[in-house]
Amino acid sequence: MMEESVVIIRKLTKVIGGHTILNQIDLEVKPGRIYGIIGHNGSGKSMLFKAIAGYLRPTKGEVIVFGEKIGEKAKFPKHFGALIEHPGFLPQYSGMRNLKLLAAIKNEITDEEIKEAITQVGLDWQDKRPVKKYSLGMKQRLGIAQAIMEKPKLLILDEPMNGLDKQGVKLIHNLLRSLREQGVAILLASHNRDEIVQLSDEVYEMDRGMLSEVCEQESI
Amino acid sequence: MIRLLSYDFFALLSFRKLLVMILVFFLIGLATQKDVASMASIFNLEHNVADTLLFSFLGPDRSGFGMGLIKWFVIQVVLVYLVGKMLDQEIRNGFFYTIPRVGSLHLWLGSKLVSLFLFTLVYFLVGFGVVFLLSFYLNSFSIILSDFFHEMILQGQGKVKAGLFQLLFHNFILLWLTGFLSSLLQLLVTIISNRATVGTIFIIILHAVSGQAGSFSMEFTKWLPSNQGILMRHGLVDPFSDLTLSWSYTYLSVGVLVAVMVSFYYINQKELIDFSSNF
Repeated sequence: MMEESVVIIRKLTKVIGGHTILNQIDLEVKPGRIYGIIGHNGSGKSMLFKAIAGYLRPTKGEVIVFGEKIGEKAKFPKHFGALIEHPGFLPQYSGMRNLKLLAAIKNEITDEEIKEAITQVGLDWQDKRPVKKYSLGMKQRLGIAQAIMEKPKLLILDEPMNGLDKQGVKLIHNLLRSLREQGVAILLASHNRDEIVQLSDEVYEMDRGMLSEVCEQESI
Repeated sequence: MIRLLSYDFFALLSFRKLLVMILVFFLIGLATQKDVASMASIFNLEHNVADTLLFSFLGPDRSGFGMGLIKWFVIQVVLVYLVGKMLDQEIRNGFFYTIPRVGSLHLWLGSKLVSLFLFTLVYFLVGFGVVFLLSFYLNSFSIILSDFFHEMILQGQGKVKAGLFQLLFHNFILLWLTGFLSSLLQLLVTIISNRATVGTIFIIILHAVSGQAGSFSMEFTKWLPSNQGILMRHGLVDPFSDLTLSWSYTYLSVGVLVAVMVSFYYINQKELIDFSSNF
């Protein structure tokens, strides 16, 4: 039986102020796979993720997530977690407090699940320091924890390894592999080709708003 | 929405910000108390608990000079700063986490509006509370306006035609609603410009112009939003002013309604919901 697609993007085009930010993009995302997107800064990777997340209205084409057309039936997709741009938390509160406040908006998970997510990214949930005292790497880990804590079926991570040390990168790689095993569809963007090739089942390249498949991971 | 409201409220109000508010109002109360005590001794008139409270919040007179202007401006700027801090954090990247969780832009914006309404209420409640406690500790208690108050306001030309509670009530409500309208305008300019600093500077300039406006045109003063919260410039206190309470309440109600409607309209039209983007 064919697995149902988590995301279907058809001929997605976005023009802002005369600039074509996304150009005729087609992409299908299946559960339990990691999709890596390589591209330099400004190539359109983040814009593509923002379109999937519902932050951007397509000029042409469509984005369908879990069977719902984004911007029509649903303004924003359900069952998804994201780390886009730099993690933005309330700087005066601890990591645990920040995630508790965010989790309270949907009210779907327990404190135990929040603690588990924080531990999974290698942070200490008992750390009482305010986020403003966190290093860039710790903020990044907390950003990943907020993305995975509600156990999403679709995970969008834009440059998730930014600021992480070697140990941190290894930990997050293992975490992403484990989430893939659990059936989570993962979209990963990075300017680091080696990292994307190492982790992804399918590798794409983004250049001036155009997406092209590089090759299947098996053949790399 | 209530759950997002709790997030927004925690973003606006922390223990540290509460301490900043208490300290600012304590210093304003203390400066006012010093002025009241020294002027009362010059005129050899009794003053009471209400004088420090009223003179802390009445605002500048039409001339727009002196301590009245400075105190009023400090109160406004601290509020603008606290609101600006929250907006800055939210538009830097916070919205990436909150909007998908609440699932609706309207609810996200609605929560911001309600939290600003509540925050401005808390801000002025803390302000009046701190100054009242300080004044209560330093002055004799009374529930009527002192002779000193009448002398300072009308310079021996009769008595102010309003009771203490009437003055306190209108002073508080006008300050609160004006603070709320200013916060809404700050939010709107921030959303339009994609930058919290632009919204913050815009409101500070608006307050600075409003504070000075009375010195060159009373007609102009009437139309500026910040002036609606300055009771000292209203006919209730200043017999030469044609700025009435009904004008200010109408102005503020219509202003809030228009600011809310424009905010919802603008956010509906926004093709890219990304305040951190340069596009």
